[in-house]
Amino acid sequence: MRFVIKNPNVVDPQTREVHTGYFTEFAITKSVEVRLDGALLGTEQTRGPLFEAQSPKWATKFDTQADAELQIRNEFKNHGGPEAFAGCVVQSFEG
Amino acid sequence: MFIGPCFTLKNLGVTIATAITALQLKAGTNGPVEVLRASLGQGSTAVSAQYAAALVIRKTAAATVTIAVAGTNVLKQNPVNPASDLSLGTAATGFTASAEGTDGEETLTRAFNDLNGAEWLASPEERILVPQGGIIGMKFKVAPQSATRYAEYSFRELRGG
Repeated sequence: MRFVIKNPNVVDPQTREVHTGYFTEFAITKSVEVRLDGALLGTEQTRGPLFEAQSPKWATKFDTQADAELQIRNEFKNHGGPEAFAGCVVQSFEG
Repeated sequence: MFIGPCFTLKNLGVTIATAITALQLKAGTNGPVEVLRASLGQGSTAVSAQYAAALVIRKTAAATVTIAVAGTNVLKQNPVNPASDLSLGTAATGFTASAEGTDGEETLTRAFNDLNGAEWLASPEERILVPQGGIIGMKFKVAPQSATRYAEYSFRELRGG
């Protein structure tokens, strides 16, 4: 048995309808150039979770429930923090 | 030849100075994984030193690692692919071991100079298969000098729908 992250409150950006989605991956939402005295030092990226899977079968799988819960706690601020997973629950998956 | 989605697993650069598992992959349950490429390099020292590393070592018990993040450490070759079937976890797919687990067969070893790193590109016949639920790792055989080290697997998932 493995585990997936279910979000029952995914809002379709075009229709504004709410549906259930499952966590697939993080995507870059913002990229900012970091400069010192005009010289480009690098870029700082912010990421946010995507819930693109409509079935657990196509979601990212976690080895244990604790691993999925660790992802929901999302301790990395540049990955949106725990608020990015607000309302999400862990669901078991056979397969 | 079986066609399945391809992915990369990478540690994104971590300071390593001990003989630890730098990268660990646990295959999912929907099909085996074949390893297409493995690489291990560094980006912070200009000091020459000679090392050997097990680029692919099977694990009979997983190392304890930092959990990999989908979209950050696990990346799709094709953005429209479905998510990888790997099992992510602290005793599954991740990087930088804090406890080593149990090593099994050492399938692929390469010696290299730290200034060049190691890169292995499998010929089709050489592609190493990881069965469903199987675990492989990439591991230094001796403690290397401290450096920011980049470890990466490219792999294909041989899975059905």
